[in-house]
Amino acid sequence: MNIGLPQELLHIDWIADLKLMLEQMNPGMAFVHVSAGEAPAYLNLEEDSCFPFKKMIRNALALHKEVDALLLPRVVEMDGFLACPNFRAFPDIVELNTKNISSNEKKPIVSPIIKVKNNKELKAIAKTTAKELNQILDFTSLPKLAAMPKTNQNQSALNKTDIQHQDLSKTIAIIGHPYVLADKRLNNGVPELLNIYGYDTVFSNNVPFEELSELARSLDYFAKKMYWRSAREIIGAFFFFSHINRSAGIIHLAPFNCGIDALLRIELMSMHKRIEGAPRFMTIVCDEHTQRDHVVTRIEAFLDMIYGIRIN
Amino acid sequence: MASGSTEIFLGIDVGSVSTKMVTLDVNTLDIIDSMYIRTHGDPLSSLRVIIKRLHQMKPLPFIRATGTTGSGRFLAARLVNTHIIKNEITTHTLAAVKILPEVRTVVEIGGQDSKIIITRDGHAVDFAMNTVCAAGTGSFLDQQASRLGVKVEDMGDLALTSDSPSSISGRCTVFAETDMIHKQQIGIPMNDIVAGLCRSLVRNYLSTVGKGKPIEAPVIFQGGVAANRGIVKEFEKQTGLRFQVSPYYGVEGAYGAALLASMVKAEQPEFKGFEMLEKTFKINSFICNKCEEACSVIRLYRDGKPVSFWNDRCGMYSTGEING
Repeated sequence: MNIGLPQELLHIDWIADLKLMLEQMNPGMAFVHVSAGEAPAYLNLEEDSCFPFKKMIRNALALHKEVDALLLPRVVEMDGFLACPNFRAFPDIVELNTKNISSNEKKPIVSPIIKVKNNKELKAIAKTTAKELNQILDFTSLPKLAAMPKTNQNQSALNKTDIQHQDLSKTIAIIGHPYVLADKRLNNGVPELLNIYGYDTVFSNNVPFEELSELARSLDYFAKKMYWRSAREIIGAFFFFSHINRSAGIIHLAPFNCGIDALLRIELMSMHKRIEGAPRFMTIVCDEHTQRDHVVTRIEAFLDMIYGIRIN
Repeated sequence: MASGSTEIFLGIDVGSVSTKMVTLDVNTLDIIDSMYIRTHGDPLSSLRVIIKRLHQMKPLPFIRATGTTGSGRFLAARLVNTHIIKNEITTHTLAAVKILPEVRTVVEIGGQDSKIIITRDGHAVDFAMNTVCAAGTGSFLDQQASRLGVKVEDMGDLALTSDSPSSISGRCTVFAETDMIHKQQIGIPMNDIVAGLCRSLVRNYLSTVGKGKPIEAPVIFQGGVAANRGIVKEFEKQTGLRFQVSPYYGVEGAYGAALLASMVKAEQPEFKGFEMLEKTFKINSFICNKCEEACSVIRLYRDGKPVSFWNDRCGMYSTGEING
């Protein structure tokens, strides 16, 4: 039985762990993350969204034709902080766009609500999800969850490399949403380009979220606590790579100037100004660059600022 | 090198709107010659024009090293045979620092690009460039000059004759144009409209490209738009700082590329630019479908034979691993 789970969601640690648990519970479940086909050309209700969200919807719709069911978690809250509201609406928007598909081709969508702080809560979600999938797909055996380590942290976080003591003085840190950092089409190939130029990279999601969130606490002076999870992740990473373990430079990749990203762009710039001898910093708004050359120019100039002018 | 010939460093800047060339004396690094021409969407032809100018130097110069910059830098580098290829932020910084070593802010407005570079102790420490929007760049001024029926080079002086610049939207060229048409329709004098346009362009620059950047004196202003005295006046008014127009404002990128060429110690490959005058060069492109990147690979032909490829992300064509 094939379950479609869009790759874009898989870059979120808790979703990656949910998949691991489901696989453990029922090895008969095979997950497909990227479709070989294409989504319908015209989609409803996505015009004003960011490119990562559009890509995720299209991937889910294209996967629809190739799987027995779609698993589209409704990500609401992780580690006590909110996810972008688009994630909450994601299963509904995919569902709306499947209205024109004939009923015999239509695949069931399972969309568990992800409101998770620890492994215990995730296990409960995994059990309910497995049951739901089991009913839909008529698996013969009832799912059983094998013993998982008794920790509150997610598994993916435990697997993160300890970069606290690594020498990052010659490394470029790239901070942003995990799905942007991991996807070449969403990040304009920035990490790849830095590697081609011969520079090492480290990412915001290489540092455990608990640590990043703690670092972001210094910015909880706003009227409300910084309640967006991704904002805590990005601000925390900025602090980490500029104070805790200083990198040679920091590049912030923002999909486009929307919501929290628009605020972060200004906030990070202002934080950068206040740090004495801070690493060089640049924001690239991925949606604003239509040509690779535009990105190449900026990356090359950024590296020239840090390492001096180099002739390739 | 032939006896009696001048030895030079060459800088070429192929921009979207203009192509520039600068030659430097290898000993003094003084500018020997410079040229600024329109690209007209045909960089191959504009490059041929500047190479012809070089070829007309008597005696024919020996080019020790060439640097290329601008959005057409890779094409230019292939045609003249050089590895010294640099982005325009770095070359503009080099030129600005050479002209004014203590410079702290470089404001550059070209044909379709506008940038700000913050320098400290002769080095760039921060920069920003416009992205998808070309509002507030030279091409916008060009467009509006032509629509208003004035020469772009006269716009600055015309703006300076205005005592009451008209209010023009600076956020978007489309809105700006709508505003300008409206002002014309209600009878606002041309000089007030042009002065309003200069004001809106500066406002646009400061609120987009210059947003959040520490604009501090000394400021050097370069790029083709620096020729517009109305813009210079507006910048000074809106920032309260003196804007020093670079003596080489139009060819600054090429100057920086030539300076960069002078800094390279390693022996450089033979200059092949003069071949452009003898042989037939043509470029075309094809989509490589060998992977999902689907790169538009650019192919350069010399006398009908493909001699060079670029713009392939994987380097499969440009390194000669495969022939297109």
